[in-house]
Amino acid sequence: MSDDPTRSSGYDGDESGPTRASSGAADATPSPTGAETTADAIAHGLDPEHATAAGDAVTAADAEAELDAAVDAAPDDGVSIERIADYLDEGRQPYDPLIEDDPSALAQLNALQRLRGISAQLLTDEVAATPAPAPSWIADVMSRVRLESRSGREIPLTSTHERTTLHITEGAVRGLIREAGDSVDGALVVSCAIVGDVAQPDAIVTVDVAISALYGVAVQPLADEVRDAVARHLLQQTELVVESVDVTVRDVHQLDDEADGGL
Amino acid sequence: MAVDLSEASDAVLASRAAEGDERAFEQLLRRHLGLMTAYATRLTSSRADANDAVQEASIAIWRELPTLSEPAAVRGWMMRIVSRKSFDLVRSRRPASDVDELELPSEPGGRDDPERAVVTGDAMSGLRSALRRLPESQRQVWTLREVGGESYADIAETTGTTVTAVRGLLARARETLTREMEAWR
Amino acid sequence: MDDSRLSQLATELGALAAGAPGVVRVQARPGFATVVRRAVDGLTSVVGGGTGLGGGADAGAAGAAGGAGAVGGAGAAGAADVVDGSGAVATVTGPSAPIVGIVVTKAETRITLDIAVSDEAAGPRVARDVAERLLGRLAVESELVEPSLDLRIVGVGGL
Repeated sequence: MSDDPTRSSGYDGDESGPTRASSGAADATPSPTGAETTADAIAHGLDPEHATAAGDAVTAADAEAELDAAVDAAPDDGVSIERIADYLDEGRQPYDPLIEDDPSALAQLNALQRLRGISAQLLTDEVAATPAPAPSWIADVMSRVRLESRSGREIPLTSTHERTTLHITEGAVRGLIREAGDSVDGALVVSCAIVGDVAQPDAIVTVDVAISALYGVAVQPLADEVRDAVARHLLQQTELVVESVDVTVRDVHQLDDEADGGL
Repeated sequence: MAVDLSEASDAVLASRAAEGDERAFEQLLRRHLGLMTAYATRLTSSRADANDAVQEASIAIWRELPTLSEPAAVRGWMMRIVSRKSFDLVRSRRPASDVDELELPSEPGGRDDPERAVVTGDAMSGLRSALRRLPESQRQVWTLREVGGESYADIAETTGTTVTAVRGLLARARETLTREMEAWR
Repeated sequence: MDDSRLSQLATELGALAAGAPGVVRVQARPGFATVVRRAVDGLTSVVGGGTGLGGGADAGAAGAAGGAGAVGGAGAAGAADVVDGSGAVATVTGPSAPIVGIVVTKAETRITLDIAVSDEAAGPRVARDVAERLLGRLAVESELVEPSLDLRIVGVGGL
């Protein structure tokens, strides 16, 4: 889960901004400046462009480095484990010779990398060992969920009695759009919306439907079929004046799709 | 006859559930419940507490799904809510444990630890026992970061501390763990 | 009309609605009691908005103020403790309260309920049919002033 170092937002300097301001910069170990790092990198044979990038990265991280030193007292280490961990998070880019060329820092880096490799698997066994929840547990959750159903706007229906109001909820209409679209073989509704002022009887609305299509099925006929099914259901179950039903194929799926289902 | 959602991707389920599809929500929940419970168990050290935290998280997930801008990222997003609720629960049930200051080792073995007791010499067992020996605050922050993949800012918010404190705890945890894990090589 | 009679009436109305062709489920409107509590001048009585006894397949629970801790259908109270200026009745409903809500004021009697309809029926027609049945039943209650109905379709097909 955490094996993509670029995924999380945790790697910006930004997020630490507000807290940094409040801490004093007790400067135990002066960090190399950007210029020094650049020069150093060039000395190590990096081309100027990469060297500059390395320098830039350090410049941006100067404030961080100060704080690292304050927070993590490792006076004998040239490089704090925090900095090594951050470097690992960045995919070891840009190349930092202060870590890569320092045997003890490099050893820590490799150890951290090994640790990370195992950590990613930590939950896997435990998930397998977790007993399935009692059916009543899920039922309890679902009843609480139903108390908060998303009904959305109320769409009027013609009433034969003065002062009697009849409505269908937007949530109900979206549900029926989903069912209509799902009923078409090879289609799965992903999202739908009713666009327009539904509270006004006889107001004109448009309906947007996004579907996922089964791989291999001809897309245009499928979209047409979905459009027809949705329009029919809306006609039968609501009094909406539907100007158009716009169907887009947003996605493609396969029957044995395991892209992100389960572990 | 309702369509079979068991094969639908997380993104599709999240999108439908955000729009009110209760069946899609239930499917999403079932699919990730094991992971959520295992994660919550790691964070609360108790299967019972974990079940409660996951139930609260489930309701919050339902409520907040419309705010998720990237449906494909729903799994990580759900885990964040699980960690948030796990910490809320620990805080309310064990007010004495201040995440910031607790330096006692976490409960040895955990009451409900599913791990097999035999030390096999395997690295995973090594990691688990090393984690158990960490002070609770370090273990939790490390779990949020390395298992949950959460950002420093999110971890700080969940644990009610600062990014500085989080980084400090992580550094200490990492030093300890790398040292102990190297012994397994 | 006293509250126990009103409660009985509400229960009857619920059964009438549930029996109409095309109706799959009758449920209480979430937040019914809360809304009423905030409302109304000249309020004399409120019943219903509860979960019903043995309700339909999935009788939703009335969400009294957010329903915190309400787990499952039973046990959620649709409580409407109402006291109005004219010194008339306070009515408390509970877990066995009828699903259909009735609000009685000096000016009118308002019936509130949510239904789910079958996807083989035509929603608008079912709604009007239910309205006819309920209003027809209410018309013979001479004690009730100006009965009217607030009905919503909250689901089609229904689970």
